[in-house]
Amino acid sequence: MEESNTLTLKRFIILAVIAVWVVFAMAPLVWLFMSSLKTRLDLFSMPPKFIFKPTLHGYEALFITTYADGTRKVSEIIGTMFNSILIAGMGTILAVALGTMSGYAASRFEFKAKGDFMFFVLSTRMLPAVAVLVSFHIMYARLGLADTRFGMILLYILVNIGLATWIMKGFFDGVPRDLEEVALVNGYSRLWAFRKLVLPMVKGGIAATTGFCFIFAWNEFTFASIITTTRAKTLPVRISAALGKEGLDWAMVAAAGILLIIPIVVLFYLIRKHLLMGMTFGVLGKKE
Amino acid sequence: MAEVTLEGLRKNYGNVAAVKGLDLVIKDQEFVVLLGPSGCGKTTTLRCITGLESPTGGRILFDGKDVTQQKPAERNVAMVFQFFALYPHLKARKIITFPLRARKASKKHIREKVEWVAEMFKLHHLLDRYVGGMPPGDKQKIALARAVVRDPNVLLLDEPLSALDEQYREEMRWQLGHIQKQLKVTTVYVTHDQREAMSLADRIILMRDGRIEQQAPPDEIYRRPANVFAAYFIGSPGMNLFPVTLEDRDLLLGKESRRLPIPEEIISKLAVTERREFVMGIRPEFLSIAGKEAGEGESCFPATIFSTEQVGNYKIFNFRVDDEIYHGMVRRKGVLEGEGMVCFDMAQARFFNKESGEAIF
Ligand SMILES: Nc1ncnc2c1ncn2[C@@H]1O[C@H](COP(=O)(O)OP(=O)(O)O)[C@@H](O)[C@H]1O
Ligand SMILES: [Mg+2]
Repeated sequence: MEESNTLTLKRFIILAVIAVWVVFAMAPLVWLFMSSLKTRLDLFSMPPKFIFKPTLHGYEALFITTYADGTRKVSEIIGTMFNSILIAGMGTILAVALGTMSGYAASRFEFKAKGDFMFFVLSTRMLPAVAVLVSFHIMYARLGLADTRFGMILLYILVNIGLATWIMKGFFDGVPRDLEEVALVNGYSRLWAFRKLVLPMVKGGIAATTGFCFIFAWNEFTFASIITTTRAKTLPVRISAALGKEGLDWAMVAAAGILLIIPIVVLFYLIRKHLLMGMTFGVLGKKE
Repeated sequence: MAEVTLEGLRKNYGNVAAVKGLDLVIKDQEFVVLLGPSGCGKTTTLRCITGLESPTGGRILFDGKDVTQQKPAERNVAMVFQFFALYPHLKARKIITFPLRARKASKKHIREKVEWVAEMFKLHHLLDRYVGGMPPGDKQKIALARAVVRDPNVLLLDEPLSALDEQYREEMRWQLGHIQKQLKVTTVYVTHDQREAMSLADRIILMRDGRIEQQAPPDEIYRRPANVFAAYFIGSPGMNLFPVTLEDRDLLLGKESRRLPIPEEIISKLAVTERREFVMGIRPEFLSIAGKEAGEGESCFPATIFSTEQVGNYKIFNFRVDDEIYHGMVRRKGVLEGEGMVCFDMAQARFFNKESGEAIF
């Protein structure tokens, strides 16, 4: 009886903490969402309005450009969005694919100067972007990669592959070697064991890595702002530019914020099951 | 079935030399046990034989054919891992047929083989169950069945019983020995448990620090250990090792130089070595207690027995010489603690070089 009482109390405290945390985390997002639907008047009313007549004017301003002569055209932000999805998506998929393979190699094989190599791989992520910005700018200009989607994809693979390698190595380290060694001894190839035995066990890790890499690539601003100008421009660059050019239409800014968040929410919704597995991997890895 | 030869096998992990030059011939159908304290390189040796690890130096031959560069799959060896290495989400039948399916064996062949192996291990009732929830003993049976189902050249086992409960371990040990003799498969078994080695091995390969200390059948390694390490490692408790000094045809025991009456012929044999200091080894069962007085010609000395321990019908008694603890084993009832005379059966004593630890006779 006593015990179950303390148990419910403990449960209650945990739930309360989680609830507070959720409110803290969600409040700005809710605020952002409401702002994106408000008129200029509602936006600045004091005290803030929680009940108001929603308008899509912020989204309209984002997607439709009105010229001085009154003609209205679909804004080039659609193209920018496409760029962002393509560049961040491909950059992430390829970085995770390559990182998964190199992470496996780093986990399972010994090779010369492995420690140095792994440190180098990690160091690519430690360097502040500004430090190499100029070199990249010049290099990309000479190679004809400046303002190309291909160049941006390459860049994001480069930035993410180190992180992906390290995270995946950690997950592979958690998979007992015995299982694949049984396969090797029993007449199966290393590739078979990797695909059929090991990969299914690190699904969670792949999901988590994908999440990290995508967030980074999707939000990346520094490189994109220097290397892209028009054709390969990405959303963060476009939105920050909009801030300066068109004055402070806060509803539009809020709408742009929502636009930036949506893909990440969708991605995490899709991978949520695996993500949970990835986080509890320590437990799973122990089971034989 | 194959004869396995290791020629100067070496394996380094970075700066760590795990195996430092092993020469060993394992005869066809022989049951060999690699025995030694943990970290001595047993597992590494085993993994080199399977091909999971490639040696830093030396060669591995199966029936005279060099397989050093071959992949594990090409060697047709079977390995049983310490923690079974089973896929918990599969049924036993699927796990057992795993090696056969790799070889694209026919359905009929697979069915026959499963029947054969299930009969041998008495595991019909487990075949269609998931291994996840099985007790360790059943898991180990399935791991063994998977290993032998395809008639491997060599069967390799890495501490296969260490994850089992004591009582089950005995039973599995017995079964394992029995099955090996039935299958007539060359077997290399790794353990740090000398009792397991003693009861299973045709030949024990005693290892320490990446090298072989002695290789011999169990009874020989027990009776005639090649050095002090073998003497102490084998047996429970191990051989007593007393520091002794030869002085004017007298053998003196310990720092206090207690004179130990011993046969003239042993003195002569020791004298020809032209050394003075030796290590005298004698197994606990060749020690006895002689009350207050020793008989004429017996090799006894006074000692205080400070504790005893009952092991089945035997009693182990413990006493000290120069702060070192030694053990004797007698089949006697009653209180043994207290002052007494401890006597040696000198015919069973073994002498070792004090510096090198090698046996003299
Ligand atoms: N993969 C490895 N990397 C580095 N050192 C290792 C590795 N495997 C084994 N060793 C080292 O090699 C030595 C022998 O190990 P091992 O063969 O596992 O011993 P045993 O099986 O006799 O306990 C130990 O010192 C161990 O730390
Ligand atoms: Mg071991």
